[in-house]
Amino acid sequence: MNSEERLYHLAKEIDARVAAVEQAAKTGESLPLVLDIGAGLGTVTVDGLGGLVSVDLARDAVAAQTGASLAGHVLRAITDAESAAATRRTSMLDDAARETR
Amino acid sequence: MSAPHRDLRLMQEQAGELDARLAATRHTARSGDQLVKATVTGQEKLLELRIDDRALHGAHVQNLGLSIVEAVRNARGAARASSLPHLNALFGKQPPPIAAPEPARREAARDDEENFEELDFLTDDEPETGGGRW
Repeated sequence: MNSEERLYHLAKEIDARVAAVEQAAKTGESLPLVLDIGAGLGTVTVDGLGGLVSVDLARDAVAAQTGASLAGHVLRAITDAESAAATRRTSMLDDAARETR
Repeated sequence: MSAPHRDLRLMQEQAGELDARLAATRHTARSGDQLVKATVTGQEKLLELRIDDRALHGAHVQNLGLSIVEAVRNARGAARASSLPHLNALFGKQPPPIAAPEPARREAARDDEENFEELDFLTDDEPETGGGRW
């Protein structure tokens, strides 16, 4: 293979890698992530970028809580979900970049 | 040290200072029903959530999830509104080639405005130029 052909293949490889990473970024952004709130209090949903979308509470379980205890559970669930979404997105991008190598 | 390196280093320092300032700033907002309060940093990281005990009883409990989301979004919105001018000031100046064509577009817009102002709305006379507009 001469140097021109090598350059051509290298450019194609780079294009493919960029496309795969862009696709992974899009997929990662569009996939919501749902996480349970502790003590069976419900779920929180964040978008692929980690933004809070919804908090769904189990009414019966909530009735046994105080405002402070419920707030603590929900806060932990939101921060965990946002962190998990960020980790998932990073991992998807890393995988996409690795697969095309 | 060359000028570009010096600029880059200065910008990195300023970005670091801004980051530290945002991390130390707190923004608090409530839900519309005032029963949930959220506190975030200037970087929009959720730090604290307070739920009024009244939110757990009666009709309020049905909307509690929405109120939590609303309070968090309001706090983050306030943080974003506060940090955006600082971020723009820091990064907006950066690429001079992109900023260069702007005056040309503004000139064009100003020309349009001048033509528009020259039109006489009180008479039925046709404007001298751009007759297609009427």
